[in-house]
Amino acid sequence: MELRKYIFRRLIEIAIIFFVILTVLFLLFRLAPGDPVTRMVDPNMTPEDAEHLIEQLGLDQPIGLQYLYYVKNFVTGNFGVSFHYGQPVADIILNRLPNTVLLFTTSIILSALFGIFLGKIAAWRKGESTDTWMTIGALICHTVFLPWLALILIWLFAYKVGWFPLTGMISAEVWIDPEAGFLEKAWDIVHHMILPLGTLFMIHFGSYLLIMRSSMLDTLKEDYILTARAKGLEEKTIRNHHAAPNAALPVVTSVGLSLAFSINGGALTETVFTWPGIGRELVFSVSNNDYPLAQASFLLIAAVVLLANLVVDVLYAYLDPRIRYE
Amino acid sequence: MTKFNPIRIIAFGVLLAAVALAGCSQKEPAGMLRVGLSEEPRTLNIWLASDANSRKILSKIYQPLYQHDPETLELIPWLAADLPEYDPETVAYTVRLRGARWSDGAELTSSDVAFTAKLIKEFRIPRHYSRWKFVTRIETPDKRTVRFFLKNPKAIFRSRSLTIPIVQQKEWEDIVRIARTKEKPLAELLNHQVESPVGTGPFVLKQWREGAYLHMVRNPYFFGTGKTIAGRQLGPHITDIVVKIFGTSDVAILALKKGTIDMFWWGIQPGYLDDLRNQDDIHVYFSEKSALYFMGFNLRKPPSDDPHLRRAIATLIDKNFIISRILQGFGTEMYSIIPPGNRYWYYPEVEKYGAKLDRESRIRKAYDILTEAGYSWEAPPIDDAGAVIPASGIRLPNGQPMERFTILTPPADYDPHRAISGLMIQEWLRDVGMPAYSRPMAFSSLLQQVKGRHDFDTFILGCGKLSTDPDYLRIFFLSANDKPRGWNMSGYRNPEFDKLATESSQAMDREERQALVRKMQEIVLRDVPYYPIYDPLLIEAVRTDRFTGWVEMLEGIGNIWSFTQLKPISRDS
Amino acid sequence: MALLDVRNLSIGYQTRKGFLRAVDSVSFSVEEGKSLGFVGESGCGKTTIGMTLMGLLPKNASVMADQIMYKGRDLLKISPEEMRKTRWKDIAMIFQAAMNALNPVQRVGDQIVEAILIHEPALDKPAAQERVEALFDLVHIPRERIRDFPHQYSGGMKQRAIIAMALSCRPSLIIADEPTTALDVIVQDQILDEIKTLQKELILSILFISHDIAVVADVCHTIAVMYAGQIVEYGKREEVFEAPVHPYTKALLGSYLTLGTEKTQLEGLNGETPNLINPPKGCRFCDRCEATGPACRMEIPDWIDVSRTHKALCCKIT
Ligand SMILES: Nc1ncnc2c1ncn2[C@@H]1O[C@H](COP(=O)(O)OP(=O)(O)OP(=O)(O)O)[C@@H](O)[C@H]1O
Ligand SMILES: [Mg+2]
Repeated sequence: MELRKYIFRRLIEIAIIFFVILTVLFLLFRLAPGDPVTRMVDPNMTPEDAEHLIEQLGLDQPIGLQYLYYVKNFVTGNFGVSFHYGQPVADIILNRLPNTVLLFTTSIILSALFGIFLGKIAAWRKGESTDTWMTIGALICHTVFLPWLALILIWLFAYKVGWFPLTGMISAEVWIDPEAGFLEKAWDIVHHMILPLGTLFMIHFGSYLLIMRSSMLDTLKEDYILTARAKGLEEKTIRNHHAAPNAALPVVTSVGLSLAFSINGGALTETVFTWPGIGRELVFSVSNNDYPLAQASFLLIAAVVLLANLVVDVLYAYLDPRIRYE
Repeated sequence: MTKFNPIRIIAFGVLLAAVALAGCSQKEPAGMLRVGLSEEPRTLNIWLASDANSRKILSKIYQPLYQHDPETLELIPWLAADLPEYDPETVAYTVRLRGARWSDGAELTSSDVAFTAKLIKEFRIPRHYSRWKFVTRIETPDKRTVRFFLKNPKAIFRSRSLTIPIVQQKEWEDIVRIARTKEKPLAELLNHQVESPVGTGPFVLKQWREGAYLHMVRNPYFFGTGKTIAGRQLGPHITDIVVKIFGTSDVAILALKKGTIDMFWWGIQPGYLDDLRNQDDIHVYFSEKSALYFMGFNLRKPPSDDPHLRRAIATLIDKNFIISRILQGFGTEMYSIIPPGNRYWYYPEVEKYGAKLDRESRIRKAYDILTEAGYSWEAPPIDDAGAVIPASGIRLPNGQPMERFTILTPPADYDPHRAISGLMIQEWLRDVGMPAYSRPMAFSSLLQQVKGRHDFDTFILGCGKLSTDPDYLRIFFLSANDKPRGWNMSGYRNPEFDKLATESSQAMDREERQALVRKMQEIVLRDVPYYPIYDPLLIEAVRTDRFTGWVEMLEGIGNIWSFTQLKPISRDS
Repeated sequence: MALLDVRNLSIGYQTRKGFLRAVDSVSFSVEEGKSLGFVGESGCGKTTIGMTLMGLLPKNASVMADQIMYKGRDLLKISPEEMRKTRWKDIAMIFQAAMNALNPVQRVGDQIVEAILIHEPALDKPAAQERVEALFDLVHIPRERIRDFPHQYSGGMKQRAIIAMALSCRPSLIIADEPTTALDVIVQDQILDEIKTLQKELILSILFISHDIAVVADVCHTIAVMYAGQIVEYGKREEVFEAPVHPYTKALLGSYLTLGTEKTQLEGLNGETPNLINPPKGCRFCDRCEATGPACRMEIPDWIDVSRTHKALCCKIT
């Protein structure tokens, strides 16, 4: 089958690109200044200690050899142990990833759904006040500084009004309580998620609204929309059945890639909301030269993004019959 | 017309949920202390833990033989029964144990202590090894007695070596045996996952839900319960400690104000003070830190290899301005390398350079130092009439114009105080015509440049959490430590100092050592390889409505004395 | 009675530069089973008329007319909802840009079924599909192509599919707006033949729009020649094609004779069509007319009846 061949070819391409990224990442982190040992001004750490540690971490070996080990370990699925956590990198990532997916991926899905929905309406009502307000609102949300918005929302809804917990993902008080049942705990997570989700939603939905709106405006100029109208279709049918699906096509790419990138979380959001996601680990690992953690996290993102690209392309072919892969 | 409008439905749902929850808040047990941390601990493996937060947790679990008295900072027997006995004949210390129990109920014995020391030596545990490598032999004559034989007398043994946390042989024995056989034994040991650490401290870890909280409960076997040590009756009286994480101080302070936590265990920026002072149930503590924020010079290359220039620069720095304006008053001027909070070792009678002088006098004094040393100018800072004027074109004693003089600082987002201080110092140096440039640099790059490559003119760094023992004075300036990654970042080489330093490390008489350490401080401030600037104040805030009894100490209230003495306020009253 | 009778129809567009009178008091009628052809240069308002009849003018357009009587109803007076129901059911339209008139992501057959079902809700889907099959037979597209997507069709097939779609609800009037412009000559002829046959077989009324007078003459019973928003000559095919009276019609025919069916600048016609925002006071064609005289610029031309069925708008004809 052609599609199968195409996917196969793309997978080989992806493997090659991935290998290049793997190498570039390795070099990037090794060339970055500093080492994992000298990161604090602590007179207890003698140069002998530092060298011993460097040797124990295997960083004293020639860089070529380190690279070979790195590739070998990687191929065998051994991602190494974090220098600072002393934990297998895979464990750290697996621990954080679900939290990131829960918050960030959900937020992308929600904001994409709403953004597309509202963008459709805005374009349909182009020039009316609905459109003007939606567009202005989207632009404002899109440009607002996230930590600022987050802090405002926390202050207002968590501190002043007290509807939501301040930050975090769960309340210690609920989870320590041996009597708390599954439902109570599940609700506790949802309850903690609302504010960060709302913040991310506000930041993201604007861009989807704007993309959808402009795509929809282009689509509405198409001749087949006129045909649909001439056929005597109801306006709603034209909008939802002929214009929106076609207009949403280019948005799919954007959403697909955002979804892929969402797994790297966001250091700012995670910091403000103390959300135990992967974004802060990324920043931490890079700034503290925790090579195994940094490499594995970035490779995970690279892999997901590359695969998501493929999925989006295949999905596109499925959604748009004009596109066929040979 | 029924139209599906997702916005309205979701908004309604959220509102409903929120309203449903608005009223209900959790009731926590009276003895549960809730502490806010700025970051999660990274590990519970005591040998790996190098981050402040891991140590905060572990310090409630693993205990040393000796603690410091909160007021005098004197050694207080902790797991030990009394102060160590030194035998100069055999160069041996004998420590008798108090008789404590591990949190699993087993008895702490001399072999646990010996095991810990041997582990450090065998695996050359970073940060500990240098304090134990001179111990040649350890004897355990009986269950309660340990004897340490030293290669030669070491002054730091009492306060530096005997204050390391003791681990349980039973917990670590197997791990050590396996690690020993591995190709990278230390890495193996550091990477060991400790899930429930066994300690002798007042608390044990009950649960750590990664990414969310830590739950510690009272250790029923804690040796101190009911005892009076250092004149303090110990509890602990709190039943649980719940540690919550707050990514930003902003939210942590909201949590404190709201009563979600009872203490925020992290230094607070002065900007929050006004707000906190207005709160009824919040008390703010100001503690001295055992820290040194200083300017370091590169003595390996011109122009900073010239002590006259260093003295002139020291004269030009207005510490009072830095403290009052940049630190907003929350810090103390530092004159010596040892912070004033460390009363026994601190020596104030050192050369103070520009202290108490106004800007013009400082320029005049620096000008005098420089002219005397042979510096000249195209336009000197003092004109013929003796007035201070803008200077330019400073030339070194050899007649060469001074080249770009760089002041490396950490970036403003890492530490605004140091970055701004760098800028101010740049301006002050320009007052005497020096082509000074302050340059903020990412922290790891800065360390590499200064400590690894020795490629710099000057830098501003801070050294937090200096030990109570002044041995760092020796470490910072000993000629032997002038090597890549060595702590003599300045490249200071002075045989006179080296001799004193070595003597001080072997002076077993405390007063004798004090005299030597004073002399060392004097020499350092004479030659100015480092010029101390400030020691910031630690600002910490707690709620006063649920607990009382915080103990103030150097480095803040989060000490073992606080956690063993803190009492819940009874609710009935 | 005529199927469609339009009296004094004027259409204007509100544009940024001013009010553009795209169509200026045109009157025409279409008899049942007959076809009327509109011919004229680009921009003269042909499509605008078609769109008006479909009720599909953009928002910036405004319509004025004494009446647009269709089957005894005045299309100007019915509600938008009624207009919607009239579209395709009564009046279908084949658009100028047929190449893109089909939704690219839906199957051709489905798009036709959709049109059928919206107007005949009583019909079930299989029945509608059967009708599509019949329609495909009628326009000579193999049935197995029903489930194809538009991009799988050739240009001619797309045009046939659209014709099939236009016929799907059995309308009485079909507006064919340059149905063949985008096609090559051979396919063009095939399509035109097909339209002619269908018209005869199904007794359709067609309002045929083209810039090519030969094509119009080939297909239509009556011809309306348009210039700058006005009908300038109106009459039976034979009358207009063989004995034109208006100089513009003559010029159109001249270009046809010399250049065949190729679309080129009309021979002998230099200059541009007049600006419709500020049209000249007198005859709109006078600037380009060979026979123009001083009166043409000043006087508003009057209709001259050449015969009972043939008339022209010109001051020069007596
Ligand atoms: N939506 C609109 N807004 C403003 N002006 C318009 C609009 N549509 C058409 N026009 C103008 O109205 C006039 C008539 O346009 P129309 O499309 O009816 O011409 P046409 O005879 O169909 O031309 P062609 O042969 O190019 O299709 C032109 O001058 C055109 O510029
Ligand atoms: Mg047209």
